[in-house]
Amino acid sequence: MTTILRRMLWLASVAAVLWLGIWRPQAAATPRSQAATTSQTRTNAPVRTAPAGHRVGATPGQKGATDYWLESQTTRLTARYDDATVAVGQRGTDGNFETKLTDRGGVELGRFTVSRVGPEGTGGETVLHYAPQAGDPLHVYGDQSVRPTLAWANAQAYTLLKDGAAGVASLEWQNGIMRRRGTVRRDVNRQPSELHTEWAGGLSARTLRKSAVNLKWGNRVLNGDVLASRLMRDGVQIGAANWFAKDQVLLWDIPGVTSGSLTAAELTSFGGWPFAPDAEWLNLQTIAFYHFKTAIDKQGAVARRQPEPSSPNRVLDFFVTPVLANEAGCDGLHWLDGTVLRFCCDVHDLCYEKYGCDYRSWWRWWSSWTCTACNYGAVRCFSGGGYIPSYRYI
Amino acid sequence: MKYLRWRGVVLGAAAFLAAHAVLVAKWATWFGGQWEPWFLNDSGRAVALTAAILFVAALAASLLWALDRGDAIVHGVNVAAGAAAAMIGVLLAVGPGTIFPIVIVGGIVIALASTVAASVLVAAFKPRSARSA
Repeated sequence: MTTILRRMLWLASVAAVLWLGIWRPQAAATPRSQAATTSQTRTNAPVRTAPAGHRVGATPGQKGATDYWLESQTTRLTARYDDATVAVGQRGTDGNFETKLTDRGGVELGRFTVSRVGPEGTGGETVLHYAPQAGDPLHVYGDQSVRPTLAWANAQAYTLLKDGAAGVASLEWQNGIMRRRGTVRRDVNRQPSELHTEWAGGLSARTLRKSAVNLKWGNRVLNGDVLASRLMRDGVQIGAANWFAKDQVLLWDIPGVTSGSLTAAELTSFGGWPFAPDAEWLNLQTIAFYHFKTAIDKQGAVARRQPEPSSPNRVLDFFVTPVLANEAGCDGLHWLDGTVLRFCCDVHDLCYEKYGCDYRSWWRWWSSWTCTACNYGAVRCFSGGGYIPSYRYI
Repeated sequence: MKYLRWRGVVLGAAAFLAAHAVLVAKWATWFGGQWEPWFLNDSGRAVALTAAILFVAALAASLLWALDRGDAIVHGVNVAAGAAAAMIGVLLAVGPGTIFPIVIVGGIVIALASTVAASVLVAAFKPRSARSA
């Protein structure tokens, strides 16, 4: 049963990766010929066979609705660039964005705001306002093919700063980004050296650019650029995900929730990775792993099993307030919620939830070995200062 | 029974219950009131208050009833034992959480640390041994 569940979870994870990863934010407008073809296929179109080995899992240049939903939960996105410029994008309650650019010393360099004046989504009208500390402000309409996100706003603000935009006449749209006419094309999304995504519910993910040198992973050796994302909840690290760009390998480990790997070889039917993962995607994907899995657990996919209390337990329950529901964090020890030990409590809670344990399992240790393992893990975690050597039993 | 000091035990239990009564009365205003009133459930003020009250209780027990240095320490430990007994009772009453044995151990560590600190302080001013005096 556990094996089946684990396999289903793995498959769900793979599906989530492919489902969410349908973007490379080029945000180019759909060519007219393609649009025409699409409209033609709606009427009496023949059924077409999808050739094997082609990339069919995504529409490059377009994000999916799930990805936009995940992105919409981001409250703040901080991008740090190699030249020490920091772009902090924030989402307002009205759905508009503002990005503040600062230099190494925290001195403000400019502000970029995105205001919606039409319906949300691609095609909706937006007004962009860029106010640099030095130079004239810019007030223009956005490209209707671009659906603004915080990452896009940060990239756009940084680009305008670096290009030294002088006026509307000197600007043009390049691949969804407004740039000074004639500037050399570059991939603005690959530029942040650090990207911090602050999400709803105290979740956040921070991706740093690193490099791997002969890192052993099974029979393989990984090298080259790495995007290393760390998942945090309320300031405590709860997981990690790494993307090895050269080897096309994604590894993730969120203890007690999910762990696994995905390689290009496993995606051959999709023609490999259907998109090029970047820092924004990795942060959202890592958050999604945690969010969707824990939401499933909370909503009852893993059934809570509460056995009927035996006679001695009924007697005890008369004196003791039965607490069957877990509180978030450390029950009775919330003083430690902000410490590394919070992690022990969360893993223990998850273990209890999964195996239907309650506090009685502490003294009725023979009644359920899995619950005893949960308790033993918690004790080891506390005594080890927040470290659990293995979560495989969950 | 050689090391049992009933007055210390009772004082420790009373001190813990008094501290808990203060927590219950002022939980929402002084301690945030996010969780159940319990000294290990806030950001640290409740822990500090409980530890301080137990410290004072152990200080009083050791000062008033201890005959010598060793007896002062024994009194401190007895105050912690009384506090631990009351602590377990209160925890069962408010509802043992999913990690209640760990909570009890944590509570006992705090109680012992504060009471032993007080008794060690008193022991410094007590004669080495009542029998040798």
